[in-house]
Amino acid sequence: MSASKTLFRGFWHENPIFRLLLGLCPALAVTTSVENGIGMGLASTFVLLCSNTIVSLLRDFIPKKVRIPAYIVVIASFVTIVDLVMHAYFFELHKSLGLFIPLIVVNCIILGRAEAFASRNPLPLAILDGIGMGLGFTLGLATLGGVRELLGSGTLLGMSVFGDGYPPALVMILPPGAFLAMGMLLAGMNRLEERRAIRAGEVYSPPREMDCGSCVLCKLDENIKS
Amino acid sequence: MKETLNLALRLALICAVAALALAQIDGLTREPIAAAEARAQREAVKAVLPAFAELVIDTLSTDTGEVVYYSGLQNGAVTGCAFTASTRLGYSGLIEIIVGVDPGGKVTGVRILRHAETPGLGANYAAPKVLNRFYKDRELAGDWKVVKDGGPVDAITGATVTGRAIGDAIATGGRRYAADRDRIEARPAATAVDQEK
Repeated sequence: MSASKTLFRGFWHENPIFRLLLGLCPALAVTTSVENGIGMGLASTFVLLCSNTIVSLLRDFIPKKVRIPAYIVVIASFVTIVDLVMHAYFFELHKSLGLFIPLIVVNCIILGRAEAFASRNPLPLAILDGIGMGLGFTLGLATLGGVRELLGSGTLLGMSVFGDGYPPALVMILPPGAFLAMGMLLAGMNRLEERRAIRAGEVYSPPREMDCGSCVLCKLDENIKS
Repeated sequence: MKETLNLALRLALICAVAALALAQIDGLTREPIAAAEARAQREAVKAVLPAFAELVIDTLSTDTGEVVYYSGLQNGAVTGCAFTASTRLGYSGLIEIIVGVDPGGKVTGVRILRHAETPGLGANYAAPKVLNRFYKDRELAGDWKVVKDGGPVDAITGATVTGRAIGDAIATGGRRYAADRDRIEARPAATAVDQEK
């Protein structure tokens, strides 16, 4: 697989949130504003980059049978490091994201990339994959946060957009708003892809990742046997 | 057997390296974290007290645990005293606030330190502008009931529960302050630990 494709596919074609539908817990929970989305996204990107690096380097050292616990130890260590460093140097951001940082450990996208990509590819590709997927995740969180902040508070990055006359649609920054915004964005993305496919004369089908049958994590037993 | 041992050893090695790395990072960040916490606390105290030159911190032990009082001093005279208070009457979890009071018993400031209230409704109280209206020109020992409960305090429309909770926290903290006041003011001068520029 080419380097540029590895780097850029996370932005659109395999965007973790909108195409792979992974890591939805933080995606829905923290995206009440653009700032929170970007902060969470960059923290996850850092963890993803580090875990991809280590997992790729150790791919011949980690025995297949204990690889999941090994990955989790690696991921949990980096999450703890992010938590400590953020607490020390980005106090305000840590205060608003604090609860969700430890949850990066169970973010599917990180374990998913370790299992599906980093453990099977050389270091340079694994690093590119970590950066690309991480930034794609950040982009997804920021978009989701932008839509919710704009409609729910009438602001973007804390600055007023619609002025004082705009009555904010409060529901958008409450939990149901996360699902509404997510659904609308997914529908919009599918529509764009569908039009592109029709123009190119192809038959459009939604990404196979939206079908649980193709999720890598469900195939653990198969992998152990092989 | 040999394979099992190999698995265990490799996993143990990974864990050991991870533990070492974490111990290092913990050692490096411990001081900055404590400094950041202390700075945040000092900011909060500054925000609720009138101008002061010197800050005195008193930790009193009571039946319910330790209570910390921050007294601002200017030229040896107390300009105000700040303390934290909390309540569980809010909409969602604990609300922790810090209250400042001048020697005459008038509230000089209230800030919310921690809350998990509904964004856009109860969470609006976290804005100093909104809170100012809440405590302005009120006596600490006065009535902190909201209008809906027959009191004088105007809560935000649609966020009465949070307003009631904040009022409760102020009143509870105020009663505790009134009871502890003699002990705070009887402190020996030697406890003046914190010099402000």
